[in-house]
Amino acid sequence: MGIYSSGQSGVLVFDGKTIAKVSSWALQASVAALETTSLSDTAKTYTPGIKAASGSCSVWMYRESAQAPVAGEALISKVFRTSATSEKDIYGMSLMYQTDKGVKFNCIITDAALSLSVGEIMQVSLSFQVTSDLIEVLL
Amino acid sequence: MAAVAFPNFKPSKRSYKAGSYPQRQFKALNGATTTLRYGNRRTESTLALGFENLRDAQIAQILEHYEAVAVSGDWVKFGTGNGLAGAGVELHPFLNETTSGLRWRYADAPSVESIAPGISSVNVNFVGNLDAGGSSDGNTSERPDEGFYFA
Repeated sequence: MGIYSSGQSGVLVFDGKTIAKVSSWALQASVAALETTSLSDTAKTYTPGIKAASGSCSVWMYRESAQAPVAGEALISKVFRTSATSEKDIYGMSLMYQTDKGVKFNCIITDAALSLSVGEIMQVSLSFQVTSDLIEVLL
Repeated sequence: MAAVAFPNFKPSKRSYKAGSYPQRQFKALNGATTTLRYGNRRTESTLALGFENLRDAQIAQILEHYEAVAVSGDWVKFGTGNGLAGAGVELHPFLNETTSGLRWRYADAPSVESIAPGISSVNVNFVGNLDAGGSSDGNTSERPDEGFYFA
């Protein structure tokens, strides 16, 4: 039987804690292509530049009981806040799609959007920017 | 003094201005103009070369070339492997100023912009001038080299 990954196996670990009720996560990585085309060339040429990565995730605003913390609260509070940001607002994150498969990195939560509509559970959409190199890539 | 070849890097952009003839224009009160032309050879042509995303080692070669030419008073010549790259042969006499007798020298210091680790871009500007003591017939081979003086 083949092995595949689905949403069921997805995990988001933020600042050392597994976030419950994550509905989706996505990560994009890129390498800048610096143009080196000279005047006598007939086709464009490039050399690799610097890397970048960013991503997004969506978390249900859900808690198991009145006393339990809201899922994703740790993420939301990094953007919806009354205090000023500081250099400490860089957090470790792991996006796993199997127990031993995923990507680890440090990031800054850059966007958070709360949404609520009739007939649906409240959800928050977050965007993050990876800072520095990826720490671990297990694909 | 002698012509020194520019390092063999092909520019990603080039801009050339042919220069003008030394002249002075007088305007009378009635608006009529009289032009006195002092020479039959154009001068102060300009050539700007841009090199995008070169390795820093290549940028260093250009800077070393600048230092060598600026200190010695030499002038710069180009070939198809550098400043003339991509230009039609009809333009070569102008871009290299071979028939005009002008000599390319750095108009100012090269400006280097760092892009990424180990990668930079550089812009170099040249000005073409007649060296003093040159013959009036445009034959550069008869021209002595006393046009460049050291303090």
